[in-house]
Amino acid sequence: MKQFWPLFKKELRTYFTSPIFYIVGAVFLALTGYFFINSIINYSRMGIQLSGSGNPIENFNPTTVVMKPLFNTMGTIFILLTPLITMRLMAEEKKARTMELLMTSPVSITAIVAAKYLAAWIIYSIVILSTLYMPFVINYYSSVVWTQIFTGYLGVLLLGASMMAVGLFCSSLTDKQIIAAVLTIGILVIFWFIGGVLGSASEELTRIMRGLSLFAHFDALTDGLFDLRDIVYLLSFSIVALFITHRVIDMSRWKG
Amino acid sequence: MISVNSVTKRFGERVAVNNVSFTVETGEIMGFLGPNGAGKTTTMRIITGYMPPTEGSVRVNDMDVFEHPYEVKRIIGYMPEHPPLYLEMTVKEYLRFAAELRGLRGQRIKEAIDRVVELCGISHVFNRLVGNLSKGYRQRVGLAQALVHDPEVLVLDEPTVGLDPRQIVEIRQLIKDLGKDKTVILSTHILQEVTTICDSVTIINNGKVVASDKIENLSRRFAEKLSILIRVRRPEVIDIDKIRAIEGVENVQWSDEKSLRVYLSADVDIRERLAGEIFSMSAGLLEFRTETPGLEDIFIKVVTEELNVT
Ligand SMILES: Nc1ncnc2c1ncn2[C@@H]1O[C@H](COP(=O)(O)OP(=O)(O)OP(=O)(O)O)[C@@H](O)[C@H]1O
Ligand SMILES: [Mg+2]
Repeated sequence: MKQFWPLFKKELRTYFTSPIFYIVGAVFLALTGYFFINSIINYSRMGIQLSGSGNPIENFNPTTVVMKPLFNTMGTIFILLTPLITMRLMAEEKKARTMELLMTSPVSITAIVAAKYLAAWIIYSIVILSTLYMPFVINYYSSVVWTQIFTGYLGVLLLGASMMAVGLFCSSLTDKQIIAAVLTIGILVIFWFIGGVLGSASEELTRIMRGLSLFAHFDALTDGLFDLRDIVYLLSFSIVALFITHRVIDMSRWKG
Repeated sequence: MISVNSVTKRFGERVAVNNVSFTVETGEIMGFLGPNGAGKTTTMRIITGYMPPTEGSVRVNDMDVFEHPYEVKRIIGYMPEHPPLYLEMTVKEYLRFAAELRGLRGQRIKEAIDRVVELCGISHVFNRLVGNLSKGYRQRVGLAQALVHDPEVLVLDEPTVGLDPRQIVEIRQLIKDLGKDKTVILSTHILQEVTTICDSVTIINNGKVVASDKIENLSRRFAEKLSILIRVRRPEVIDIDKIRAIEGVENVQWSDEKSLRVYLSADVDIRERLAGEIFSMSAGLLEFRTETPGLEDIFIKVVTEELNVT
């Protein structure tokens, strides 16, 4: 991990001094804010209707009805926003030939990958955690199940860990940001919908595909189910993607 | 010290560098010459550890570049062909980052930056964005980046491209001063640059070394081309055949109306006889000058000879 800190600081500074971070943040806050208000209104309408019918429905509480769909929405929005955070990471270093500075300095590839990855994930996390006002607003008027809020956010942050790793990987493949972006979205769509919309005819295969799906593991966490297997899956997914990224960068040195 | 040992680099089928070997001693500045696409940049990238060679090895201060990459990279300063700049940083931020990457910490960073800013003459653009600088200043920042950790070994790929004439003189002097106690490799297309600042020269063509020696040794080796230029007031009275007849003269040619170029075979010194002969013709001798082959002649000779062979 030689020279991790200078690299990490540089990445973070680049994010904060470029407009992209603020644009991603603003778009994300606007979209989630809109969905939040919508589902609050929906929730109160449904509450009025249900109170008329007299028989209580299981799981009808703001955490499940408002927050859980919002977690899903956050994940779905980031299928599109991830490349905005990650496409630059390696592609730009190659395009601007600053790779020559990095690779002729006493810096390890591991440090480069780790610094870029962590910086991207921190940016992602800042954007995600900016929605923390939501459970507090709900809790002010009603009450939330804080454990489910916790596993939900844990799920979103771990999902982001995987998404940033995919983005960084795609960025290491090319010196063109746009190609990295398209690839990232492609891969994320596949791993999001696999086992769901992208199911297969055979029951057995669908089960395997669900096992590979980012969404399935993330979904379980947003239900408030703290299952170590989901956490391990999301973490391993990131580690594998980062490992491949390391290999790609190492191999591309031969081609110059 | 840099020693390049039988380095070959292939890109697929293309051989960019073919069995190249040379050494540069500490305190020596080596000029690295060759036509476009000869393999200079590729060789330098291998020396700096940017890319591995297909075959062969490079040692810097007796450490193998690919066995001890971090130790070697710490003592090398590399200025690539295209300065590796972050356009969205200020010069100050950029140099600080470059210093940190090389492992400098704390107070040493500030000292190092102050030193290179002074050396490279970039103090008045210190707080500007790199992206807003002119080409010449970007080039200087690129050089400052290579010097910031005070490396023992400098690898400079066409360092004076894009500089104005006054800057060129300054930067050349800077490199010359640095070269007194460092090992420097410098590639260039300006032959005059090599004669003014380099101690030795390596000429590469089609990926192969075609000449590698101290500059004065090279001149001596190519001294077969030794010639004398004679300028006279009355060219009409010169009897060329008489001059040709002198032993040791290989050829005589008019180089312009009033000047005669006499090519000599290397071993005999016939300057006295030749001068006497001209004098006896009473042609009105105006100038009598021995011409040693310049680097330009040598360069063109070795590069074209090589082309003829292949
Ligand atoms: N990454 C690469 N992939 C494929 N071929 C390459 C690569 N880098 C260089 N080459 C080829 O290797 C040869 C040598 O290139 P190099 O850049 O080393 O030449 P050079 O001597 O620096 O030329 P110039 O004077 O134009 O800078 C060229 O034919 C070039 O096309
Ligand atoms: Mg070159």
